[in-house]
Amino acid sequence: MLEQNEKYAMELIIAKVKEGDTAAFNVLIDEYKSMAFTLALKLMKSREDAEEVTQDAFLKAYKKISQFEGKSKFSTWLYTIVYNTALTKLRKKKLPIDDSEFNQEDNLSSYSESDNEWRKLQKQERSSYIKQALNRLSREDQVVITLFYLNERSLQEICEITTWELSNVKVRLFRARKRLLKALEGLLDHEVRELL
Amino acid sequence: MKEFDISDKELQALLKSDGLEEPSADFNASVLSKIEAFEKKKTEPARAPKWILILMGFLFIAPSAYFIFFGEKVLSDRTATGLEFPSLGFGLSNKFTFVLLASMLVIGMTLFFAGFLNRQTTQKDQVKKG
Repeated sequence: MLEQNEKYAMELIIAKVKEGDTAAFNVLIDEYKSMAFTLALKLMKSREDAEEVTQDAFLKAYKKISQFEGKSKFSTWLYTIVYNTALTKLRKKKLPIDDSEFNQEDNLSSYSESDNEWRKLQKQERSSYIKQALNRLSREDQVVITLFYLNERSLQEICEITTWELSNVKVRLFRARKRLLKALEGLLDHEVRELL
Repeated sequence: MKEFDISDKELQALLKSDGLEEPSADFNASVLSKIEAFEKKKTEPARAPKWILILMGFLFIAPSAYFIFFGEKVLSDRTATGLEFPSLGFGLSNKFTFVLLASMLVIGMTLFFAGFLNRQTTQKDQVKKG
């Protein structure tokens, strides 16, 4: 029931935006700016660039709101615009899109004391390690992790946003998760070694 | 030894506990001011870039002016050389025919350039339907 009401409210807001109501669009900005900015930041890796990309994406969404027919969620449509705007900007800046900054095969030992160490850590410390580990991943790994775990997008929605094949999304997500855990393990191993 | 692992739920909870990144405080204002500028621009009449105006002036307006003043003379000179031109005048004076053709050409090219510019703008802001 609550979900139905939310959907109805969103339809009303979008109808108002289609009529040119900027106050209604401000509501959409408030609702989605953090998610959109987080996604842009994973790709751009600079707050300034991410902010520019997110602003441009919102502007494009406003200009093209008539093309939004409600076939998908508004958020999915918006993230598609954010993703494509970020890729265009990366291409303009001639930055590699699929960068493998982190090669877990070379950097990490397969087995360690890190599992026990992880259990001992406080929640806040764990969160900090996750952040560091996430930053070691490639752009595409960060995108798929952010969309799936943080933005709670389904695999199908990730396909819509990134235009990757479903099988590709599944493989990427599986590998990205594995790489994230390896990176985490590496960070914890390093900590243990420093303590010894 | 067991490989390091955490559950999907735990991973999600950790990623979420770290929270989402927040843009700057004036983010909304910046987007809204861009929208305002866009709306203002939309109501203004479309303006062609200067280089197009200069090109059009050079390619069409100058020859039209030339034919208006010297068209009849040029045509009669060429007819005197023995070359035959099919008559397109339909009983109208040569000067009037040239003005008419030149005007049609200018209008046609204007429509072509307008379409070209419009297509460029559409391609730049292309967004997938949702």
